[in-house]
Amino acid sequence: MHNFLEDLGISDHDIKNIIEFNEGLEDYESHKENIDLLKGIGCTEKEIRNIIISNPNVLIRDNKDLLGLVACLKYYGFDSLNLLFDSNPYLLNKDDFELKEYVEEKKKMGLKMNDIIGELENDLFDF
Amino acid sequence: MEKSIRLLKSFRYSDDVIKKILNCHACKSFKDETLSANILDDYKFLIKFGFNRKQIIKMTKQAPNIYSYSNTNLENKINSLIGIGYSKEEIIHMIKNFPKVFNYNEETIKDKFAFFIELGYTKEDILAMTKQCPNLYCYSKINIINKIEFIMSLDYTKEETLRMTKIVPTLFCYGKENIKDKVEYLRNINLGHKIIEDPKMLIQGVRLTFARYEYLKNHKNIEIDEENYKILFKNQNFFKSKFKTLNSKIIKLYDYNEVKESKKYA
Repeated sequence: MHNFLEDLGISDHDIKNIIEFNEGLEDYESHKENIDLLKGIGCTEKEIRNIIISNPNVLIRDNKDLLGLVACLKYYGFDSLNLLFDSNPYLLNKDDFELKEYVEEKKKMGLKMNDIIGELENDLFDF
Repeated sequence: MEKSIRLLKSFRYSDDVIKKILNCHACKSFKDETLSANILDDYKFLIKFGFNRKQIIKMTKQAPNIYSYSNTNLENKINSLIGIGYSKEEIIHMIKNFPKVFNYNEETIKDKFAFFIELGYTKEDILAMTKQCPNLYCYSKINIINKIEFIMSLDYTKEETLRMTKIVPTLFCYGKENIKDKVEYLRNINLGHKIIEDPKMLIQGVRLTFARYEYLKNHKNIEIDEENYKILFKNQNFFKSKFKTLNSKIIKLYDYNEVKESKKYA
């Protein structure tokens, strides 16, 4: 059931933690498509390991929501999403609408797009 | 479940999310009448508390069992968080980022609080740490102790470990390999002593830190030291406008994983 996590080189201890975090979930294979999404944006196995161990929630997120988030980040000009997510895996818990709301709020405060992107990257935990 | 479905549709839930809510273990046992009453009351309560429609949909999609609680139950859970010391804004921030907080009862949260106090954190520390990283509530005590011991095994004192985790509580979530890689690399480039003072250095992935360090040294003749090290951790827009390059380009020039592997087998 957790073969694909083992294939990524995640230790038994960390797999146990991932299961503990996502309590009640049985069929992890169905969430494998989120791993494929991470691979698709250029994440190395090591980055995927870092992301999943730090934020096991990624596994159970709706794949369509993650695709929407990735598209939105690209639209705002983020380069190298693999590096962005490796540094802040919790960003993957966001939906595109939250990102848009954040940007709109900052625009109302008079910030330019470039500054907003900079702030977003620096204040990822607070938004 | 016609009434519940109609209600959820009126809140603009998609069909697949409706299915997820109705099939969730906690909601499945309810009769349509009871569940639809819960859904309506909870939705109204959450809106009144300050969440918006999209946030509620996202929260209940991730934690559909929220609708198995009565609005009084939700109110009690929120009141217990207020009682602990969280502000209304902090609660909204925490729950929208980690709706599973609703799954914990008052005793569990108080127990985790007492545990952190025992470890040496103050009440203010815990509020700030869990606001930033609400999933801390999800980690077992053993996991937290293991992580503290692991950081201490990297030659940090307990006080230093507490200080670092207060500033970067996500250290509790990072894998050991991840933390070790970052600490070892920063020590290699003589920035190890800066970690205690500025643990936020541990947030950025080591692959990017390495690529930037090498790029600045080899292409811009900039030797990174304790005076200018913050440049390594600037956002990509700053780096792009200052050095006219992209993260994606420098990462191809200097790949940490390749260098690490070649050293390992040398």
